[in-house]
Amino acid sequence: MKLRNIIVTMKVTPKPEEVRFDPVTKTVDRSKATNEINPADKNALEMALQLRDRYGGRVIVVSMGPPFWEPFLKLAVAMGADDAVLVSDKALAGSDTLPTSLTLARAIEKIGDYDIILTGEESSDGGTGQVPPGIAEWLGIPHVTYVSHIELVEPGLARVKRTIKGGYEILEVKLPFLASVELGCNTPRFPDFRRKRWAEREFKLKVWSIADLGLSPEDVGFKGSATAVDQLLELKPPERLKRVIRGSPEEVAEELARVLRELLAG
Amino acid sequence: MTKEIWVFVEQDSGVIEESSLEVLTRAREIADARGFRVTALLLGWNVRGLAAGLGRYGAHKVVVVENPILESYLSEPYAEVVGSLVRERDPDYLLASATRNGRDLLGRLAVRFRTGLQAHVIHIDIAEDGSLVGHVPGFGGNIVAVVRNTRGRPQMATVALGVYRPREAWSEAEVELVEAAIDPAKLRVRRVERVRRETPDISKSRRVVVAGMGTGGDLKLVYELARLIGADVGVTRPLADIGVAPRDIQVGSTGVSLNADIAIVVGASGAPHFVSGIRNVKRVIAVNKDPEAPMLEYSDYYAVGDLFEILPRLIEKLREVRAA
Amino acid sequence: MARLRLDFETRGRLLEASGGTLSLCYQCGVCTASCLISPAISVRRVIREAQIGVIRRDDAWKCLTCRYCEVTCPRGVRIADVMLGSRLILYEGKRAPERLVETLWRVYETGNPLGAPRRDRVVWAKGLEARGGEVLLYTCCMNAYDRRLQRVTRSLVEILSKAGVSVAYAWDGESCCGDVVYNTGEVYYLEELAQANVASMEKLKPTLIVTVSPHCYNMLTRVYPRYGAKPPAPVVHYTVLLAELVTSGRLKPGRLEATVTYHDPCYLGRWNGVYEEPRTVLQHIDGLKLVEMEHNRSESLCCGGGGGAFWSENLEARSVTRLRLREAINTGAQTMATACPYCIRMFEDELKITKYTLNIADVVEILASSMR
Repeated sequence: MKLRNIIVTMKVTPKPEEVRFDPVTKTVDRSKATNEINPADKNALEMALQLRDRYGGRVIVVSMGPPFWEPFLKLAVAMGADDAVLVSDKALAGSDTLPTSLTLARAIEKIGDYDIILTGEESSDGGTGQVPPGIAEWLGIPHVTYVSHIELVEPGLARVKRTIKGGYEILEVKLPFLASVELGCNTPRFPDFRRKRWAEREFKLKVWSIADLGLSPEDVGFKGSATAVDQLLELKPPERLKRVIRGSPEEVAEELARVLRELLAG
Repeated sequence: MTKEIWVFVEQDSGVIEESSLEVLTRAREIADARGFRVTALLLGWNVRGLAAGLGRYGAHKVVVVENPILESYLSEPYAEVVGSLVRERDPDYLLASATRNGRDLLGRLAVRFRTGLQAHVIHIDIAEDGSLVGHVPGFGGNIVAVVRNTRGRPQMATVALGVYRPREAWSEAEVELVEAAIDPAKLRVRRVERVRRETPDISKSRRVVVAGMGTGGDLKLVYELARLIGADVGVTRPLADIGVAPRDIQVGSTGVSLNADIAIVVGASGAPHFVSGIRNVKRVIAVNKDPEAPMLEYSDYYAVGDLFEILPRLIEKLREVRAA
Repeated sequence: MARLRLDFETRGRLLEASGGTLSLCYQCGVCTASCLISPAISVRRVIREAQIGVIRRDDAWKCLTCRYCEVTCPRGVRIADVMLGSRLILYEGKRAPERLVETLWRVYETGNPLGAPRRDRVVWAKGLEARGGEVLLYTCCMNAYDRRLQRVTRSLVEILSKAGVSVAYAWDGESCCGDVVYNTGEVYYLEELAQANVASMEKLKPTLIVTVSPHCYNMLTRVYPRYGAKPPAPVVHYTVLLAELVTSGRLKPGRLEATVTYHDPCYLGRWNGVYEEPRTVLQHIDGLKLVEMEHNRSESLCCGGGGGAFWSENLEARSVTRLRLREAINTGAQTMATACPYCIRMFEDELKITKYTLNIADVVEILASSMR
């Protein structure tokens, strides 16, 4: 059983704990945060590579983002991806999940010959988890979310393991389909640094604009979105009392019992 | 025309998903304030008996669709059924709880109807002009975006679990049974197997005792204390990693986020990925041998000492009061 | 009985890794008998299989690379190097433990195996006076980020400044030495990392490089040169510098009434031959009584954290930690002194879940206490 193209969508996100909120300008400052491949997308890529190792095919990474994402796409190539596409266009700025899923779906259609599309279950910055089913809807293919394992049963039919509350379910799904991959379901392989050097020096990324996808500015960006952000608020972690209780175990237990009785009553 | 808020009520094999009731209640609160109507959508098999009761939680009306294929969530038939009902009846708003299935379903339908979908909101309301307004957390929960739906119908949102409390404050709902024509042969996804255990959902627990690595994996005292004060038990990631407890009760950024009134955290140092799971807890009490552990910054009360010495005494003292 | 295919290429690589000593093994089994984590691994079997080019199990990952077995080996086989050589081959075959691969990603993305933000690496030095000098302090990631271990680093800076040594610390470009990368068998990234580190150090034009951790010391002096990265100045472990400062009189230790036992870290002692200098420092403290554990110097027991075990969460290693703790307690000492961040963390973490009473302190912390 052979697969044709296995497509992985990839996003680059800032490490959440390093993003600062500027209460004065009420904007998000990502500039000093370390950027990384969205962790769940790494799991998706690893799953794609494992499928290719087993069933053959080509793993192609596709991203919608600004030019500075290029090194990260090359890192994905270093991990083993066969090709990478970056859709980059100023008009895309301000896109919510609707034009994002549309753009990625069009890019996937342009790549063509796809048997399986893999995405991370959600991204560490927006975290909506909406783009995967959205892409599937644009493409008119079935989708399964929170997938931790995929195998082929027969040509054109796959069996997938999906996480549900309290356990899992095994589903059979016809190819082509899209699966959103569960964060942490596998250990992403570390890049091959010899391949990374080749990727940096010789590999040429495909860069597409929205025109290359047959889209116009009205279809994407702020204009193409159906939601808008009115403002940003900082959600401060709660101020804790930080009252230290010290003493012998007996004394500490006595004070704790007192505190607990109070809290449990109220 | 009275605006209609639809709430997708999730169920599994005849058991209603509790967080759907949270959304239903909230939807009714908004509806009462604005003179709107709330319609619940209930898909399943042999579930019509549950429908009228949804009225007590806020539904004016419940549309029930029964079919063996709908017994538990499958993306394709659910999207078909809900999608065709939406197309036919054109509601103004469609809400669901942000469970895996809720996000799966609405994510697909939002594109089908070219409409806005807000994800995982921790607050939902409808503005004067009728647009849906939500608070969407991002960047690991430190920043919240105030988001508005700007076009498309129905306006959609999934609501984070545990943000609202369900209330039985209204009367039984009007029930409408609708036929669903689902052709199994046309489905491209089918279920082969299901493995599920009853798991405690500690995200809803009002009191939790959390065990950290300092317990060394010995949770006897933790369970005893929990039983005594009517609390559930959670663990930090390292304990789940070594198999002492299932991941379902792992607290932290890759596990459960607690919404409890009280959390007693014993033997945990307070690593960042853990503390993000207790940020919504009203009062945090910690017990730790280390007087300087990071956990101090995230505690209301921080007891310094050996948990194996303190907990037995604490349990005894709490029992004394009970007996008295 | 299963058929084995002899693999001459693998045999060749392991023979080379062992410096030719692999062929010397005559299967006496003393290594297995003395191995601290036996029976988790059968060392004798691993070496026998290596001799015929077979790596059948993933035993090499459990090895703590403490080299205790080498002390007892009558033939001088470089067993730890065979283990490390096997790891390279296992890693190529994608048979590395998941936790170690996750740690590689953290080193790559944040410059430290803890995954802590890169820019927080210098936070430990906040409040300390201006830094600059010919002596470059190479701070271990653990000593930079771990709150408990930061006390060691600050003590060291305090002491060196008292001795009038001008030290450049918390310098721009300081990054992980790559110990865990090397222990995982990822050599191509290690090569890049080592060369980048040396380039960063060269910019500061040091005349001496002082490391806090014995693992960093080992990497800079023994491993880096093999990967085209030669440190721009001589490298010493800080205990060697301190020993020189106290014996020359540039540093005058104070007084501290305490009974202390010293634990020889594997990577300082057996791997790099530094046994006496830390003891010299302690012995120069008035009122300090130094007692030895049953196994000391080249026979020291491992803390359980070596060979990547700290990162791979090797549970078998915990019994090794406890063994050492009991030895320390048996000496009657209130404090066990050591000079390695992994040792300190392994001992203190294990103490948290045992009922033993023992203080763990770094040599420099004890010295600093005596001088306050």
